[in-house]
Amino acid sequence: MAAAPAPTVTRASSWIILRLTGLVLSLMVLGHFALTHIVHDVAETDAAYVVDRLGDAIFVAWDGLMLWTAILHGATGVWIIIGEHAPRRAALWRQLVVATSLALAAVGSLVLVVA
Amino acid sequence: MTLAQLLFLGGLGVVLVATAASGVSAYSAAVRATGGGTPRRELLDRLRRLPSDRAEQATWAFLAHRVSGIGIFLFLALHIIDVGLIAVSEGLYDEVHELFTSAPLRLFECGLLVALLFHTFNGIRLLLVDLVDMGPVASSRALNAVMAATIVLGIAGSVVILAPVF
Repeated sequence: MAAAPAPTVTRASSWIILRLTGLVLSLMVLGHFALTHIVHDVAETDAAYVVDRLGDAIFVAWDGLMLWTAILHGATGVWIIIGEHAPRRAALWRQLVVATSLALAAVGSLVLVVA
Repeated sequence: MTLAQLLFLGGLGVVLVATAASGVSAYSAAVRATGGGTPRRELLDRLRRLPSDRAEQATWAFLAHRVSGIGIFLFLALHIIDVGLIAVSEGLYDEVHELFTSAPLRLFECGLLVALLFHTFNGIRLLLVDLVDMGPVASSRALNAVMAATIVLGIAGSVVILAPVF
């Protein structure tokens, strides 16, 4: 009996990743949207607002955590969708998603640190 | 219209078209899986039943969850780039950010809010369905609560977002 190939992301681990990150995001993203569209009008969140916000360590921590959590949540979701919609070419598509996600997370983190 | 603004709008166009395409793809996959055509008259008949008796509303919730997730993730990719412009220059950021204050983009923001609200509340419902081992009746009621919360908060938020237009 041939050994089953070791799964890279099992169903159980993707279930846990999606639910845990989802719970964190439900507060962080709705909070982010409420702050930038309800509390402040979108017209107020100009460059001066962003520069001011990135001068605050709490906001940099908030944005950094939200960035990585959101990308992990989205990439895991797309990972599962690929398995269901393109099982034959799943490996290729998944590599593309992981590479793009890491690039986006890197760009976002760089902006948080540099700006 | 500057080049950066054009590029951003092009990116947003790609996000919207890709989201719609994923919706069509997910819907046709669901139709293939159930083996049936799109319900027309049958749908109206079913809508007259009690909510707990309409199992297919869970399928619609599944599709809406998937498509809203894809749309939000695609917009996130664009949003990381448009905010990231501030690292290039503040002027460039403001140039693109100015678009968000226009009426069509405010309408888009309302759509984004509704997508976020539905995805969040339905996600919490899915967590509860698994953790509390909800049956079909309870999860159907929970879906009604998800829809109610999405519509109420979506309209309330949209009023605030669109107010400066009027």
